[in-house]
Parts: sequence; structure tokens; C-alpha cells
Amino acid sequence: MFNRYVDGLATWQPHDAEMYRAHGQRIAKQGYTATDWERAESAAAK
Amino acid sequence: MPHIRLPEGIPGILGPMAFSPATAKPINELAEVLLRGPNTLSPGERESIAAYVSSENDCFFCASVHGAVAAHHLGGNETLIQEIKRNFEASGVSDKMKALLAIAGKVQKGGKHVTSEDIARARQKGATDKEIHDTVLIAAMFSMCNRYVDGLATWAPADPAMYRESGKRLAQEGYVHSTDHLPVNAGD
Repeated sequence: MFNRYVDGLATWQPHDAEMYRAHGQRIAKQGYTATDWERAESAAAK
Repeated sequence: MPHIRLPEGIPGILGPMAFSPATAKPINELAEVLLRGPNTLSPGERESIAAYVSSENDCFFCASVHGAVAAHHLGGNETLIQEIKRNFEASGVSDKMKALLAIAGKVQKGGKHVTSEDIARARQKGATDKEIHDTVLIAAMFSMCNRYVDGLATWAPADPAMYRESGKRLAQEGYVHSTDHLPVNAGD
């Protein structure tokens, strides 16, 4: 389902492996229902 | 015979939903928002998309149930649902719905099959970005449910009257409490 949702809308996908590593780590720690991960990540990137 | 031990006599997705109530809950909630929540596409139109995708995935149970829900929303027009499943381009639905069904059919094959021409056609026929988004998500969600139902080889009744009955009930009462009557943790 998620694959078709993501690709059916032709979403933008970063190619930087480091980004996925950081994102994976955050999801593994905080889970999927944490709503502020996007803000947390952009703050961490600064 | 289902591939795992599911409670007997419970048709289609309801068997695995009884087996796994924790996952049944968010699936029902997503169905409720996506198919019945406030939307410029009518519940009948959204259920038609769900029925069409299920039919393309050759999922008899989902195609029958959601075809029946759609028909109920559309004043009992079962012929229209049959037409959509057979060849929606020649059916009596609006040009916008034809364009959205074309997108749904591409999503069923895989997200990357959707082309910018498919999206342009839908926009040209008046579809909003929200309608295109919801069409993609309905098609994606039903591809998931179809695989869930058939991947476990669930039992599907053949009697159209049964689908008409559950279609009517789902159209009237919705999805959130649709599995409350099932035996809890029947698979344990």
C-alpha cells in the first residue's frame, strides 16, 4: 500500500544514504506515531 | 482452506480481522476516513474505485463487497458497477470518474505506472489535487486489502444476496464498528 501511495503520486525521494540512516534511527527510537519528527529532524540538521 | 487457522465461517477479510484485532482497528479507521469521510467525491464514487481496483486484483470478496456498498450508495445500480469492472471507459460514469479510475487502475499495477498524462487528463476533467490524492490512496489501500484477503486464502461466499446484505450494512453503518461482533482473538 505504502509503495503505491508514494510512487502513485510520484513523490520526491532524496538519494542521500545519510538522510535515510538518520531517519531510520529516529523512527526506530521514537516509533511511527511521534508527530514532531519532521521538525526534530530539520532542527537537528541546522 | 485458509493458509493459517482462522475462525471458521467468517468470510473474507473478517477472518484475519478477527484473528488480529490490533491491525483490524487502523484498517477499519482508514477505510472510514477514505471512503466515507467528508469529500467532494461521493461515497458511491469512492466505493466504485475500491470495487474496480479489487476487481483488477481479482479479489472476489473485496470486489463483491465494495461493489455492493457502491451499488447501495448509488440507489441500487448494480449494472453500473458491473460496467465499471468490465470497461469503465464505456460505462455511464462521469468523465472525471473515468480519468480517476484510469489512475486507480495504474496504481493497481504499481505506483510507477501512473503517468503525468494520466494526471493531466484528470485535472482537465475537473479533478482536484485532493481527489487525485484520495484516488491514489484508495487504490493503494485496496491493493493492500486484496493481498491480505487472498494471501491468506480466506473463504469467500458465492451468494450475491450475502454481499448485497453486507453492502447495505456497511453503506449505512460504516467501517469503524463493522468488526465489533467478531469473536475476539479467535486465532490465538
